[in-house]
Amino acid sequence: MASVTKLRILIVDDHPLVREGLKRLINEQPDMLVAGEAGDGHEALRYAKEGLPDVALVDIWMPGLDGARVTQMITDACPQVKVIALTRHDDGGFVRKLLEAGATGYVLKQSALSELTRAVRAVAAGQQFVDASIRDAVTASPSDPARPEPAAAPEAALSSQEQTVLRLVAAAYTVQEIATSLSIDLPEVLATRAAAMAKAGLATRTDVVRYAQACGWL
Amino acid sequence: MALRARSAEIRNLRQANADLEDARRAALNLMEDAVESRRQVEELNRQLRVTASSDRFRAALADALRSLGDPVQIKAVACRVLAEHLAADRVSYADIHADGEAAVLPPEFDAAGLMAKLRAGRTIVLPETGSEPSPVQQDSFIAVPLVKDGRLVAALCVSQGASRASAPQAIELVRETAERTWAAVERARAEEALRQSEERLRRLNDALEERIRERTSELAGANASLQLEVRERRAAENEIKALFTRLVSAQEDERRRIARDVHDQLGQQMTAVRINLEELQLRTDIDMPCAESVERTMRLAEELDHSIDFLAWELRPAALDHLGLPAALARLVGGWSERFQVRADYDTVGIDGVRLRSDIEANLYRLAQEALHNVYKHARATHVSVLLERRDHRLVLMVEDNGRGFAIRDASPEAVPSLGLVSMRERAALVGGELTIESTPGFGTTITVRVPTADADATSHGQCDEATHPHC
Repeated sequence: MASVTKLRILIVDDHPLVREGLKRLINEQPDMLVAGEAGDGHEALRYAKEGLPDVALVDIWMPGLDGARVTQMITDACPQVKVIALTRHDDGGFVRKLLEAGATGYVLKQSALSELTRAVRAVAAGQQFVDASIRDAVTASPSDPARPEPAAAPEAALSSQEQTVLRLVAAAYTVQEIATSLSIDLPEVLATRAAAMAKAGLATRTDVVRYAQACGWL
Repeated sequence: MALRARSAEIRNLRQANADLEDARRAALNLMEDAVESRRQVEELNRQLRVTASSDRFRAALADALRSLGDPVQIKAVACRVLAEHLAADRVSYADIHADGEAAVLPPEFDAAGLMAKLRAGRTIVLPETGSEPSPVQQDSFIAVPLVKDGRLVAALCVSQGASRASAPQAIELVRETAERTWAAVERARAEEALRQSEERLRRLNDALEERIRERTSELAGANASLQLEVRERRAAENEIKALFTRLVSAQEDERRRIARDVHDQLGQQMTAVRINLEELQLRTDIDMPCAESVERTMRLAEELDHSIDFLAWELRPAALDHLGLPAALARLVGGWSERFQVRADYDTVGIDGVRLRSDIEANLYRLAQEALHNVYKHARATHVSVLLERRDHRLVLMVEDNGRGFAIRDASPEAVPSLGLVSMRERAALVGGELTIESTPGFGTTITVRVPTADADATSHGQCDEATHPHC
């Protein structure tokens, strides 16, 4: 690469072995240069302000200031510094948390180095980058599941008793509680629930909850 | 003329004489009538006196007996009053026992002969009226039988030294006295019996009250010791609960620490190893077998990496501390579904923006883990729903499967020890929650944990409290 200006990288990780390994590998890259290292959040913030790196690789789990706070402080203080969260946590929740904190990249330490270098180049170019292995999990977030669209005009097909039973199922009432609150017997609750779920094309209680949310019941 | 006159005179005289005779006769008749009348008056007077005397006697007898309660005394007094009234030598009241023997019959009489008559209900009066006067001095004697319910029960005997005919009034008085004495004795006996039964009743009552007092005191003692036991047991239970709470909390802390060490230390070291391996891979000066060896080592390192992640997650998901229960459950359900190839959905209602108390989060997470484990082991389900809802002042965790279910009577912790329901209930109770199981054969099983929300909320999202979430 003929480029004279290499991407200046700041490595923030409390583990020296990791820092050293990353440094060697990154410096192997023709377009990158490790411009600094930090073992904790405060050091990282100080270096970011002084050294103004292009990209900061931040371990999100460190003693003292955790990665999300460090990310937030760096991007607040120096908006031009792009932050990539570098972590072993593959949970979508962490990804969202870090992206909300201001990170534009999220890379797993378990992935190959090529994933990291791709991320560095992408965020430096102003793009967002999430590790390929968890990209799907982040977009289809399990803790905020995609709500399936209910069947067309679903409520019209349900009797008022079926609707009532479904509302209570969605509201986390047990069959016994539904029977008690509607003054009908257990088999009738089971039959009504089964009929209503079949009509609405629902298989599980979570289906019923999503359906109820789509209907605006909850 | 003179003769005629004389004869007329004679006639007149005769006439006068006849008239006188008539008058005398009439006067005699009148006198007789007067005497008869006087006799009648005297008889009436006598009868009146007798009646008055009898009445006085009756009054005296009634007065004498009224205050007496002892049968023996009643008999003695009755005999004395009668003896005085009749001026009798001896009056005796003899009880006739069931075997027919009289207790006290005057010995000078033929007892056997008298008894036969008395038993026949006949009054004996001696000497018998109309009999020839005995050449020897004979006492007069009256014996009146008392027959009750066809049985001779007593006789009242009166002996008078001088032989005199016994007036019917006297006999009647003796009979009456016998009846009255009998009645008084019966009344006295009844009163005595009543008094005795009242006494027995009183004693029984006293005894009962004493027993009640004893029993009450025993009960009070038992109650006191029971209350003490209840207090001690409650204290022990509280101690156990506190201990269990500390144990569970210590266990979670320990797991958190180990998970963190595994993830941090081991994980970081693995990262370093892999970076080194990557460096080797980038080198151009190594030969083919060497490169292949590096490649194999790389794969091993990756597997090791995954194992480290899995182990750390199993110990305690970092998400529980850093992201909260909803995110941790999402990951749990997703991982479970992937691992056991059973469709599992997870959803939350009313949870957004609310961070729950960390011990509640940890315990609900463990409960969900346990419930899913049960589904995998027992339910043979094809769909599982995990639901976390916060509404109506309660937090509800529901794990519902469409598996084979079971008859709910089998759901007692003792009956299904393998379900681990006992420890699940205890765990729910640790955070003030309640666990219920609902199952119908063929309709799956629902495990529900409810926790009052007043206890559940820690802080709002984003203002994570260091004390409750030490690793935020």
